[in-house]
Amino acid sequence: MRRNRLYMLVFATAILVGGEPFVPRLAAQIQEVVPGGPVFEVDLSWPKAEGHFGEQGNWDFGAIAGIAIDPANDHVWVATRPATMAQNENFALKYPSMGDCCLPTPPVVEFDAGGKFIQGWGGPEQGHDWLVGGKGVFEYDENGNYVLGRPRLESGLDWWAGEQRISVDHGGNIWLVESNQILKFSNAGKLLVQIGPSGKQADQDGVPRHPTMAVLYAKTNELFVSDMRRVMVFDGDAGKLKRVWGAYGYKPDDSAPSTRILVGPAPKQFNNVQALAISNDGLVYVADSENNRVQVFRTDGTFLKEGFVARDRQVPAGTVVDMALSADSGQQFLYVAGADDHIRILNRETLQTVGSIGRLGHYPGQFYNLHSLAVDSKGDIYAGEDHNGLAGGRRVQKLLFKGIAPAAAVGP
Amino acid sequence: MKRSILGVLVIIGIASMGARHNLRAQSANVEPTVKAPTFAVDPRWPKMEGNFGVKGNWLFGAIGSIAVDPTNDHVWAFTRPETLRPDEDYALRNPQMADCCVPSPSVLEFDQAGNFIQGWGGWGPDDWISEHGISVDYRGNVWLSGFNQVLKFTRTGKLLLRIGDREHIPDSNESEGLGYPTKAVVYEKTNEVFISDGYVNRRVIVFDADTGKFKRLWGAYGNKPDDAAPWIRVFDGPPPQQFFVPHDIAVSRDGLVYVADRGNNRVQVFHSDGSFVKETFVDRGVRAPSNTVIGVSVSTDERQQFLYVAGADDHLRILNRDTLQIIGSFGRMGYYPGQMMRLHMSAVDSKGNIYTATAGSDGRRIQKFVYKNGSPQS
Repeated sequence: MRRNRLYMLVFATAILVGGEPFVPRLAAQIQEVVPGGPVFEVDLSWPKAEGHFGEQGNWDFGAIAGIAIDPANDHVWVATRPATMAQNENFALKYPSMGDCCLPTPPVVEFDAGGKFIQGWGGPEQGHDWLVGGKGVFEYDENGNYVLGRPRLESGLDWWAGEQRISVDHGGNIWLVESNQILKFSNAGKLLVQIGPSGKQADQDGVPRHPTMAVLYAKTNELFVSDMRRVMVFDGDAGKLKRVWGAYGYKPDDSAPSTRILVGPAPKQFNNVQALAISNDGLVYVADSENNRVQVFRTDGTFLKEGFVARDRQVPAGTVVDMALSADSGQQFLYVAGADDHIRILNRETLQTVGSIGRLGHYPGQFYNLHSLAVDSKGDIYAGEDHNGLAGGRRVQKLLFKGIAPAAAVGP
Repeated sequence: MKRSILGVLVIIGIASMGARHNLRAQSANVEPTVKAPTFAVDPRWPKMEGNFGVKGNWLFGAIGSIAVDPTNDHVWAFTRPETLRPDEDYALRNPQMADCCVPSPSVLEFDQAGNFIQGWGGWGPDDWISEHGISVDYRGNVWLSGFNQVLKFTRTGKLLLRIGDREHIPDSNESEGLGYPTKAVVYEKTNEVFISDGYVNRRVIVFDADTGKFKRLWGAYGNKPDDAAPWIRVFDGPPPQQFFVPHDIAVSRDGLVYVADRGNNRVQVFHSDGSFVKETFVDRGVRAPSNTVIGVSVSTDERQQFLYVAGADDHLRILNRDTLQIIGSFGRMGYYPGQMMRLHMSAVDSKGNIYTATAGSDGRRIQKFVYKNGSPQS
């Protein structure tokens, strides 16, 4: 809050003295600035084009499945899907004689806030079953270090097969959903916990069926999991299921139609929950993706409210595929990533859409198959792009938070 | 005599083969006489404003080619509106599935600063399909090449001249018609248009730039083209005696004609009368599906010291125009600024800045690489 006031003061001063125009030019290019709304600018040098990612390097991301921020140090953790790199892009892997680029990065990649590559790990190894493509696809040397191997599946990937969302808990542990299982790793990639049936779809209740995201809520040490038509809550240590709820806090009904209903009465069931976010004040935000809807609950599953987001949009994955809360102490804004390549800015209190960032495209500040979202402690947004089977995007972009636009200001 | 010169050239060609690490090893031993300039991407070019901005809904199709107007340094792109994919043209549907996108016009003009100036041309049965080459001549006329024809337009899109006939595909030795020409460029001193022809034919063909009257044609080494030659890529051994998709063409101020012999990973150089001068392979051993020599443009410094060769492996290689040796390279595959997906063509403005176009099914961008330093830019 203090930070926001400071920015307003700076902006107001700039206007008064006739200095820099209020809205940075690049911000004007990536968003329609609204009074009282947050202002962003693309960080054109994130991640750093050096080493594996530089001109002489040959690493490139697979589809970006999820992004998470380590709350302890603002490091950025990216879950990628190496198997989605197209056959004419992975020459360095499969056909070195055809070109010097590219190799898919390891599935899990860590950067610092400045965009410097820190480490990467993941893939099948002893002790757990990183499913996609089976064992031995990614290779490790004698010391257990990752050696790039073949990609796993080139096509026909089931949507749940492979890497999904990632989160980092208050202890620095990494929670990754991969092929219907929830895997907890140490920062260095050592497997600590596995919940779920090793890639198979569970045939009994009490385990996730097609989980998409797992988030540990520190205050109760509970793990919140988004799973198809329900939210599941597990004990954070023991992995024991504690409670389950569906839309409006009702009992989930798997027999409900999965047809998308984008007009008329609000659907009574979730339709493919893709992500969760939990606020500092303990509210659980559920991305009800194919209903173009956000629902809000208390941690005990009590329904509080809902908001549709551009409900009439028919983009297949929906307008609510991932969410993140703003970094101010009151978490005034809920950022919602839509597969129509907009990050919509919602007033967290009213769930009204008050602004939008981005559009479809490959230039900086544009998005292509927008799929993932995270916010760091400074309020900067990280946005990740999927690969939809036809085409990529496959970037992680950093949008720098430049402050709150004054209530009376109007962008150019 | 001619044969022995050829032998020397072949040796030079072989010496310049190989992957990039070989090149680095070479350059450590042999100090290049001409230092390659360096470039930095301008990530804010072109400006994503107006129809291309957050409230706009225009999107490029694949970009066949890019050109600079020598009279004012404006940048022209020739795009393929029909190539927007079903996951991109949501705003064309009725009802709209999303607020973006619709295809931009086919021919787009930007100024130096990246401001959009105008666009014209659509897609359809009339004049062009499979938009491929664009150039702007010394009088500011716009030359488009595509489906069996070359079209000359005014800046505002008025058709002035048509060479070729969409319905007629000639063989490489016919003087009438074109076989999917890839690029047409005008040489000011003779007011002739030089056409790389093309995907079907294997020749260079020259016409009068005003009347469209046939002047001359030639194949690889300046010989008679032979359409019966095999369409097989070879990455080593004796140089192929025929062009294999002459895919781009450039003419220097001193009247040398540079032909991007795509399927052969080769550049051949001619006098404007068609007599053969020299050739080089460019990383011949790299088997990139769309080849290492796909676009060719000449630097704009007084002596035009550099030849820029666009490779479909997303490297833009810098050659010493005199020796045809590779002395630098920039670019790699990727979606971030300065990276490219299926580099296709390049163009150079009067300040030495390079513009690139990508023509893949994905990652379509035009980008500007700002000339930084090297041998002086006059």
